[in-house]
Amino acid sequence: MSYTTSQSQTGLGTLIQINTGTITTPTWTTIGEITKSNLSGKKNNFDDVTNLQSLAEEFLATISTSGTFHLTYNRVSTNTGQTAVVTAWTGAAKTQFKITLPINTAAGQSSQGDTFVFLAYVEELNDVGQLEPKKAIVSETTLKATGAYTFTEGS
Amino acid sequence: MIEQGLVKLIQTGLTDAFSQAVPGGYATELPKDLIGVQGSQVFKAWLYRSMDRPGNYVLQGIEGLTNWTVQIDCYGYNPSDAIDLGYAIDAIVNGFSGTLTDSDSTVVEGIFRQGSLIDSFSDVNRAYVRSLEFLVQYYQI
Repeated sequence: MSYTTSQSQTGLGTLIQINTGTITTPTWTTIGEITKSNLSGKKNNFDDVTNLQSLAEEFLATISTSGTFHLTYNRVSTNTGQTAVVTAWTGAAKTQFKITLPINTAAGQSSQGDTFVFLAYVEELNDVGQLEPKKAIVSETTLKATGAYTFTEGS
Repeated sequence: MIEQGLVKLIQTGLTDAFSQAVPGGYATELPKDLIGVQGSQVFKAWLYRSMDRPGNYVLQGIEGLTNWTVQIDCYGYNPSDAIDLGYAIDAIVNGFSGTLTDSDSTVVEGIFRQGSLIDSFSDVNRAYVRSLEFLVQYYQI
């Protein structure tokens, strides 16, 4: 099909959830009032195998790094998802998370958006961030992903 | 509605401050010939005009905490009338936090005076004007 217009989408409607159940029987609890999510450090890693017979630098792909999610959200102490994040940080527990993107109608999706399920540690939790009189109290947390993602394309 | 709540807040406070009702809470324009026309006993009046109210969004949708910038114009027959009214309104709203008495019982996180303070004269209303600007943070239902 020839190009007519962009099929990109915004993040509005994204759900970022934490599993408060078990791996086999998950209970997905939405982490409420997230204003921003930023993934960084998801990359392939390489070893340098350059040798005397190389004509140029040579690298060997080793194992990938799944990266780190940095979440910013309005602090609401009674939000069950945010409370679960605190619990995961306190116990340094490997916890399952799920990101469900909005349904991309322009791309032909109609029932479910793309999902990413992964395990992560709550590496950093600044739950009482900056306190300013004219600004909402904002929490910031870093999820260090461990292992591979399970990606499911929406439909 | 926040507009209704703000007007009620100011009007109640002005009645206490000046021991009489002060005409006000008009949106954008005063009624014609309200101030200082021969025989009129109205020397002070105020209106509000909405300046800015951007939507705040979280990933799940629109966020309830809303920032509303509102300009309040304080009119006076004499310069001192406009200035007195300005100080009185500032004393009522600046730093306010609580629940308003509008039909929605709007919860206000805080009202903050912004930097703008402009004195002028209104030819249309034949009155002196002190314009104040406030940031109202409230929960939009």
